[in-house]
Amino acid sequence: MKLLTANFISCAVKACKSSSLSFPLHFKDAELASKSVPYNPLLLSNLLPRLDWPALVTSSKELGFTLPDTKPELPRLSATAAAAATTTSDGDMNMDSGVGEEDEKTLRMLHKVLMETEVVEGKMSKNNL
Amino acid sequence: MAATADSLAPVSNLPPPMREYLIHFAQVHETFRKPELESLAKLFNIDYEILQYSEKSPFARIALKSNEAAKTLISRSILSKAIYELWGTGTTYDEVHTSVKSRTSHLWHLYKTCSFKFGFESFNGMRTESYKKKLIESFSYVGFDGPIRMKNPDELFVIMEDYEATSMVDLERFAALNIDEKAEAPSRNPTHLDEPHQIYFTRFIGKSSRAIIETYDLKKRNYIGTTSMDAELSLVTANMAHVGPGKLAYDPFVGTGSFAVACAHFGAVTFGSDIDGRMIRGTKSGKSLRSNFEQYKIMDRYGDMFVSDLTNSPLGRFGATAEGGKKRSEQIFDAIICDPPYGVREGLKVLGSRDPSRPKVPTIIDGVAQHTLKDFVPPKRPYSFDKMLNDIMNFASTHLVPNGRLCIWLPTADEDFNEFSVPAHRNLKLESICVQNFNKWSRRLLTYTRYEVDQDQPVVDEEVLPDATEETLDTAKARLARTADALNPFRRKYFEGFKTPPSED
Ligand SMILES: C[S@@+](CC[C@H](N)C(=O)[O-])C[C@H]1O[C@@H](n2cnc3c(N)ncnc32)[C@H](O)[C@@H]1O
Repeated sequence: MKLLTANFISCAVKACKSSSLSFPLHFKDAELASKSVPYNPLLLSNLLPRLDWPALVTSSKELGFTLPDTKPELPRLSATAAAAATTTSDGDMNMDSGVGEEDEKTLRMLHKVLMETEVVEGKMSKNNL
Repeated sequence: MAATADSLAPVSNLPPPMREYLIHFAQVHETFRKPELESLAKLFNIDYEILQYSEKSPFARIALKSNEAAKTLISRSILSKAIYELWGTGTTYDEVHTSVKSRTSHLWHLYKTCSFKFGFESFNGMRTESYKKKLIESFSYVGFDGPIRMKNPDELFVIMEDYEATSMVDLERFAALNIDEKAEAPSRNPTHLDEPHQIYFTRFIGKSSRAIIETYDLKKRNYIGTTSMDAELSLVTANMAHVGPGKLAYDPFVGTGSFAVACAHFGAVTFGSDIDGRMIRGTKSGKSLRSNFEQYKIMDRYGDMFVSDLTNSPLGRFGATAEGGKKRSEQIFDAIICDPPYGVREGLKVLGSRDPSRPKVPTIIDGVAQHTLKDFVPPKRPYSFDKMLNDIMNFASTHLVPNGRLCIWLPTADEDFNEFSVPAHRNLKLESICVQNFNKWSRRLLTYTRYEVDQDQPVVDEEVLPDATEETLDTAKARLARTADALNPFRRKYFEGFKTPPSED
């Protein structure tokens, strides 16, 4: 499972639906795999507003990634601009996302955490004990 | 046909920026063609006006602002073949020539030296090769001097003929004629055939995506099952759902993933889940949903596939509130596409024990992440189709982003179209209904758009389903006492063979 998915799901057992522990779920004994995926700033720009940032920071930390405490503010990229963007030989999208160096670094990190990392083995639980 | 003498004059009187084009559709899934086109125009934000359209004909006339718009509009279409600039039209060749001359004579010099080719398309009719040649030659006044190239010409001009729908007798005549033609029997005069009722002369502008149906053909797909949806309609559904690069799509009844691969093809990162983990894990020999993504080289758009029951989905941010006490947003997906189970082969099921007082089995996140309960198949209890639909509508309302789309395939019995009403939800605007007819039954594809903001007013309509409410233990027990058959009108009808029930007397 990807961290992206982990940011979207809660514990669905009826009894804990109303509990504040049901989201986010915590990884335990997680074994990670990573695979390179073309960098897609358009996707990241669309994803940002849909992420629950504090939860993402928590799950990332559990898996050994550090994200800034506050969600980066990004100008919304348009699909038309993305359509005009060129791609590098690795398939990465080459476009000016209009962000500073610091945010660009965060974006690259986000890409790695959300799109390139998978938990292939492990459990999810409601508490991180 | 009265053609105007304007520059690039449209056949009809269009306001200046609009120009006239001809779309060549495939003569299949007729009720899906216009909605697909309209959906794509909206997706690409293209102004258009349909000037002539009939489900009986593959040829439609449409006004657009530019060749660029025409190219873009058609580029993703599955149910059309190509789009052309319309140079002239008429009911006879004389009319076509007059029309072409008055509309395009000022353009001919542009094509004087390029390489070109003439093509010929007849619908419901047929011409011999020699006669086609004669017809093509009748356009020689355009004065193209460039080389004729059969492969990759700079420009392609096509004559299209539309014949009135023909009777079986005519079709047999055509068939016979075709054989004669091959044998080059001179006795038959093809001009004795009925004449087309409309003729078009066109210049090729852009091709559709129809060719990818072949790429995604189920016969060549690594992992399929009895529930797989054919490539053509899966791709059309993805077009209706406005999926695209940078978007997230989700199929809550993903099965073998027909919609998932179609969404990923068009660039969306795609998620899916199913109550039955075996569907996702696939076979021991490594055929799985994931292997399909590998086969089509779309792994970069593989979100996640997991085991879950839509009626008790883990998708969402339960319990906890975000800072400031606001409910955490659950608007995640740009598109939700599905083909929910209607229990023809197997009664519709949801996870949970038959006795609703017993606690539910925790949802297993599966597929990739291993879980201790991996091979455990949770008990399932029967569920009514209407209630399931209700759950889907509510799920879409909470999980779609503003302007996100829901596409859902539902069955409907043929002689009783109202068997299932069209589900409604106050936050979902119905965009279109497309019907696919089979021999004894039919199904339809419904497309909805999520309103930007929540609507206060429930839809005032008798077809509205009540909002989902938690059942009381007693009513649940009473309901479960009934059989799955009794719960599902479609399933019942299916097994009755759609017979009319015997009358009282
Ligand atoms: C008609 S099939 C969909 C097939 C899919 N479009 C494909 O390409 O194979 C319905 C699927 O829904 C699943 N299903 C049945 N009840 C469910 C539920 N309550 N929640 C989630 N999935 C369910 C079934 O296991 C089945 O795979």
